[in-house]
Amino acid sequence: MKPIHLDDLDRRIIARLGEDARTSMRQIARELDVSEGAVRTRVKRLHDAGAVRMAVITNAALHDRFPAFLWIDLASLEAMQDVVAALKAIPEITFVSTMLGRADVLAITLAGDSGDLARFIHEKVRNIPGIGEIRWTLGYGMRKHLYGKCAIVE
Amino acid sequence: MSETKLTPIDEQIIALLRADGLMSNLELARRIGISERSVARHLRRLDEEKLARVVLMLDLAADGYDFLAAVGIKVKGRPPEDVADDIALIEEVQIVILVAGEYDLEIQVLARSLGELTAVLEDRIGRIEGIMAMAPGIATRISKHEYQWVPFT
Repeated sequence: MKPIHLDDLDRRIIARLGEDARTSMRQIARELDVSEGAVRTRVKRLHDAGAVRMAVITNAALHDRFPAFLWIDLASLEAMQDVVAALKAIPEITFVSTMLGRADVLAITLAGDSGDLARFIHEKVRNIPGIGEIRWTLGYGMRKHLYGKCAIVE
Repeated sequence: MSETKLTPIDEQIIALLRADGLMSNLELARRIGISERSVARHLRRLDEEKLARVVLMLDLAADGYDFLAAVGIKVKGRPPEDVADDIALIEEVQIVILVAGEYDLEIQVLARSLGELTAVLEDRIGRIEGIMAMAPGIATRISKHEYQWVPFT
């Protein structure tokens, strides 16, 4: 996607909807002291451009799990597309990207403890054809985790 | 948080909102088979007790962020928590997680250009006391990026 121009009002609307996407246009218009039509036009433009998406997030404190990073090297780079597709299809994996540096692919999941993670890797990841080495890192505390920006992919 | 776990109805509301974040309370009520007032009550509780939220997310590329770096950091001479809190103050840093293993912290940094990324890594993070080594990797093609769980503020 190409960058789109976002002015100050766009950013304030995005920030407000970033806290609660079900806030009514009328409410936002009132808070930002602009017309409801202006808010509606801005939001529609962002949606039409595919620049924003809605998501339901739950509080990580509920789950008692932390991010685990899987640094994956491929046995052969030809397998890249298939490996990425296979990782993407695993519901427990929330992030997949090819990398420049550290590994061929980074996949992120959530795990409660190292046993939990080891089982997940063994049962769901290790057998994917084309995967060579997997190194992993398990988190135990989150100090910052913004969620207002992400890569929107199909 | 034991008293504030999600109820089965909360779970149903969240699943329906994951499919359509703007589904009206009336439609949610109809699908689940409870009253509209009950839906409103559940939504209010989810919000007030910081259990779940429906949020809008902005695409990185649309906002001009071409670079997302996943950086492993080794800490020496200071508690990793203190270094993490210093790094967390940097605006371009989206995520700071304490990890066990080869590195002490995993962070994610956004930048609009390679120059901007280098500046954040070298001039901002690199100058924080207690950082022994940094291992940056750049995400070249992100094919999945979901935040279904996050620590609420």
